[in-house]
Amino acid sequence: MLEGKPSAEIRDLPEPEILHVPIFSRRLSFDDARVEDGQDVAEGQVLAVDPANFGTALLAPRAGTVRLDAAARHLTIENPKPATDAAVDDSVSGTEALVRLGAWPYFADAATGDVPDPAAPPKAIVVTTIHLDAFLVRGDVQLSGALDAFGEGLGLLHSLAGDAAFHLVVPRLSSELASRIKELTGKLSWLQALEVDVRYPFGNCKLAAEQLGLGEQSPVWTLGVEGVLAVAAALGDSKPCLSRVISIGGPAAAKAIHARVVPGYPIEAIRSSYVEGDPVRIVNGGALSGAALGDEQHGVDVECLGLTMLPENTEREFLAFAQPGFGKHAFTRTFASVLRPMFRERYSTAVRGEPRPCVQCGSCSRACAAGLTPFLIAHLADRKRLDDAAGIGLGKCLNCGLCSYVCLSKRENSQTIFDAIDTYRKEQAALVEQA
Amino acid sequence: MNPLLKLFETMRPLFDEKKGVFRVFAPLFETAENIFFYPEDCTKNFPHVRDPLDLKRFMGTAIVGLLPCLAAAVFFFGPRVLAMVLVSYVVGGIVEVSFAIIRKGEIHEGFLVTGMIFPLVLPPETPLWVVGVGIFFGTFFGKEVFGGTGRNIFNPALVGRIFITIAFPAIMTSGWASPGAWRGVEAVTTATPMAVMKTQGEMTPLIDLLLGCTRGSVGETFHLGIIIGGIYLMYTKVTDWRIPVSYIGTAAVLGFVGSLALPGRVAPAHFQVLGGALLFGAMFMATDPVTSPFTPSGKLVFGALCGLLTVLIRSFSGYVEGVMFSIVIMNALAPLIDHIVMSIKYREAGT
Repeated sequence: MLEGKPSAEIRDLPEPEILHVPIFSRRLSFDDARVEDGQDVAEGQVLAVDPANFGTALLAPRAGTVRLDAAARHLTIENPKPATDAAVDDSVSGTEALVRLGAWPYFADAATGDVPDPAAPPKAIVVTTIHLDAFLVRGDVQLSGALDAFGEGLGLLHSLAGDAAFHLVVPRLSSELASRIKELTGKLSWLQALEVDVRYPFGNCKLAAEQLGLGEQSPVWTLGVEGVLAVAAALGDSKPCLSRVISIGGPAAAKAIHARVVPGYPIEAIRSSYVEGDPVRIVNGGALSGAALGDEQHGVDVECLGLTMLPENTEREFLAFAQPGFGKHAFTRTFASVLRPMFRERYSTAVRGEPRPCVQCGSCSRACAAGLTPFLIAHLADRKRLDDAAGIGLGKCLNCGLCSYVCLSKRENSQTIFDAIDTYRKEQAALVEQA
Repeated sequence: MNPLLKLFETMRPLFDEKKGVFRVFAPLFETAENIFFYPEDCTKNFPHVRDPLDLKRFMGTAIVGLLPCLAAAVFFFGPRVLAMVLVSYVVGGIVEVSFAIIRKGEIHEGFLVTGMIFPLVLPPETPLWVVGVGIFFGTFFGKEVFGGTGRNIFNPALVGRIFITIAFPAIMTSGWASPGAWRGVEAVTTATPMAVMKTQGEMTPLIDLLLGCTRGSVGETFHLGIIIGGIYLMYTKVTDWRIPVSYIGTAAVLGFVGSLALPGRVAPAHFQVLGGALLFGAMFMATDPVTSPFTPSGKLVFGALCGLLTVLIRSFSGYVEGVMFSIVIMNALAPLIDHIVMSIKYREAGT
């Protein structure tokens, strides 16, 4: 139980006075602008495309006047008009429509996490209904009230992908929504459900693909509930995907909710009404796997799943290692909190200890859902022995962050491994190019 | 602001690493400050939140697990045990602090456990200066020359124990005080249960072994306390259950089979487990995460081989006890065990 968990309410945020649409997001970089400074754009019009990612389009979330230089690496839309819901584009179909109508950023390749090639038909599709990172947007919240559209989206995806195997990751729990999902998926004979524990990071598509034995196949498309709903809108109604549901949560959130926003919605507007206290770090994503939102980003980006408000640590805890710790959730049973399973804890960005050498306590291996030995991979990565690291499962890492979360020596294993994966993939790509 | 924190704030300029008068002792100051007040540090990378467990608490929990043994040792062998612990901490602490100053690094908490375990594996009448020599040798050559915490190959406490066993054989084989002798309780036997069994073929009753009414090393005799402390450490997940279970299990099975095949030479199962240092070694020393394998199956193999070596040394060598040597030998083999396990798991692994 964490303080700051977003409630199930999906709130519509007030109409924005200006939109700062970032031309970058976690994986995408919309460098090829298709509009000019001062141009009036229509709702759903293509603002820019990402040439490195198969022309994935960045759409104008609202009609208005575009400014190219108002903020670095942002397309600013002045005087945005309220949503009209009028834009329809049925000139394209299939995956082309997904790319053109803004649904493609929801797709990821299972093995690499990259944006998949829309022209290459998938061997399998894995859809997850759960996001389990702390404070992140939840699948059940998005599904309640949208179950019909979800079913439609699944059907459209299936017909799009031909005879690809189709897997749905569902939580192993009994609730009204869970049984309705089971009822829905029971009717779809081509769909196989995979039940997973409701425990982070299960629900992760890469992990699910690994468990399903899809590791060797490529490409495998993965997407979440929001992706399926986007497919339903783009292919079913030929409508551009302009808004997205994100979570606004975390211990420093004034109100922890889900919100429907358009990309470009000013961070400042969210900060002024949803952040409590100072200093606060806004994390783009969940508290465990997200990235800190930099000062250079002024609006919600097209891949955002949630904004997590974390209070920056300013306290120096007195004799923390000797206190019983009734109020501290811990991975090991070294705190008295094991005596009271249900309680809420307020998290901050505190490191909660001093950096130390690794003592091979094995916590990271126990926490790793992919079954790796993170401390050894990080050790090899530190010494630039990336081939050796790849030999013991570097590529299977989910970047879930748990190995650093549990580390009692406060080592930055997750970041080290994250960087190593990046470097290793670049090296491999360079080798392929040479050959 | 807390007055203590204020005191640290006013003293900090004196220990400033560049301009402070006492800059040499900066690691000492930093350690003292961080014992009372955790650093203010915020996470720089993902994950942005962290688990509350740190090395201080981890090592602190290990010490809590040793407290039943320490309390029993004081009860059986008198307050001189506390003096031994004190000497061990002071000398071990000086070595650790000196290296921190030389390396200009932090002082690590590992020596708190080593310094506590070391006196517990010595005969109760060991002179204090021998305790000092042993812990000095163990920390210096067993740990610091390898690069400090996390890099040592051998258990530092055992390195020190082996050194003084070889350097002062007379002291290390005759200092077995009788439990309660310091309070005037009559002596029970003249040697440790293992030695009595080996030389006279006589077995100490089980209840005496459990409650520690025998001679033996300071901390190894009160087996009930070792079991309680060991289970506590396994429950808190500070130690992994695999090593103690496979160590004790293997020794028990070999003792059972061996005593049927070679009665008189191999001690039976319950005596293997409770007659000497095996339980203490299996619960507190073989489980040292740095010097044991990190792979789960490697831990099982490690424990089993420790058990095998212990029974072999006890039964067929000139030594009465085999726990110390078997753990140190297996410490040397731990990386190899891990390597083999990892190669099997990832066929072409090159580590």
